[in-house]
Amino acid sequence: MTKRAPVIRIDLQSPVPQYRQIADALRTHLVDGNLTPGDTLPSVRRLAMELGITFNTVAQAYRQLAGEGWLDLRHGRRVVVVDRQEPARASREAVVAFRQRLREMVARMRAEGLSAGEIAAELRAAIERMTS
Amino acid sequence: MMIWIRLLPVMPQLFILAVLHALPLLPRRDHLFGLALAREVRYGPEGRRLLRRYHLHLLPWTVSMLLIACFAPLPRAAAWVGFSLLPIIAAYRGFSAGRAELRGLALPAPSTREARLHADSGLARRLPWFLLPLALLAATAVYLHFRWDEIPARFPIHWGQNGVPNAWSTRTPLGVFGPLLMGALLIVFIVAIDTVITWGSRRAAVHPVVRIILIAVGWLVGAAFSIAGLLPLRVAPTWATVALNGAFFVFLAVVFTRHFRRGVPAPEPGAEVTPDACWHRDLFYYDPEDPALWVQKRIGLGLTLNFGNRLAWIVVAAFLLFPVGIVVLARALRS
Repeated sequence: MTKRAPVIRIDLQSPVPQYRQIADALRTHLVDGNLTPGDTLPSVRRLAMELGITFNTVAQAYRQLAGEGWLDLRHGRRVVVVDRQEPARASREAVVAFRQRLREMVARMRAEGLSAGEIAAELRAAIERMTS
Repeated sequence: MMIWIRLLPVMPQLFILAVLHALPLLPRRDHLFGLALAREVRYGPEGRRLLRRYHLHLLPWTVSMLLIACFAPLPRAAAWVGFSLLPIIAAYRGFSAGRAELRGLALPAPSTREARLHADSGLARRLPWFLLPLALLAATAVYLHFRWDEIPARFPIHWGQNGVPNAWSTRTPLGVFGPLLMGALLIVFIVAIDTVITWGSRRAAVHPVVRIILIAVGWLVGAAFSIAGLLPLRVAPTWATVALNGAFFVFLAVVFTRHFRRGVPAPEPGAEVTPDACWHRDLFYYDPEDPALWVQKRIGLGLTLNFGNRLAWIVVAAFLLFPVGIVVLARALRS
């Protein structure tokens, strides 16, 4: 049975740059296992057209993920998911940036009314989904 | 023969009138007059009132066209096209009036965009559907080749309204195989349209009905030109052409009816979102920021070009030049 292609979503009114929204959404699918090595992604032109945004924005997102080792952009126009060699340990800068972003997100959800326990449960569920 | 000639233009007229009456419900059943509306507005008294007003606005034109098509003396082709334009203009005016009243109630366009991460365009899966009509033309060509000696030196290829032949062709390769070549070129042109649409439009913008119609037109062309290709052997009955056209329009009617009976569709990923500011009179779309070459129409079913994309002008040129080429070929055949 062929697997159903995953969906990505961006918000044009979000303060987060569009290329980062695309890269984040794709990375989530890559880590979740919805996209596996050998899968082909839409071309830059196709994805830009589907989202109604410029080619450069999609190209920037793809380049970022290629730089992280997730994608191979060398096959002409084809964008292929590759078997990524996980780094031995995240860099100190990456951990600091992650901690900062997490604090902001937790603060935002507390402000929205989510309890600390609920936030912890959400985080645990997200981690379990990605490691299963 | 007169009755068959009379029936030929009536069928497309009936179809056009049916589409014009369904226009406010296209392209999606959860829309009205091309606007996304809350369910209580779309199916409420206001929606029903505007829909009724639109149908009443179109009714005199519908009745007039049917009377003209059935009882008036057969007009020349140009006059016929002119008559056909009148209900289309009336429908556009009625549609614009309904849309203007509902615009204030339209739901705001979502700020989110979705895309399915699918690399396959599906074109390769559709191509075999176009090979069948091409094979039919090729089979007719082979049949003519093996019965070449039975073809008269001069044979009729067109008849007037009185049933008397008024155009002739001769037993030459172009004279005999020309109609088949023309049919093949038309099918190739339809495949080119399908390819350009697939290449240059968002997946959600292309309604399945559009694809079905393109394939059906390819089949109609293949069958009609195969029948025309048999004219040199005088084995092509007139009723076959009429029956073929009838079958085509019945098929289209079934496809449209099935589409409307399916009920309100769920929102699709990547549903077409085009900014209001980029539409001119709800007919012409110009957005240089949008990479799509084709976008979903706001009025009616199908696609329209994004004139902000430079390739759109090449497509327009191809659409204008191809019929000219076909006319030149047809003239070469008749001379």
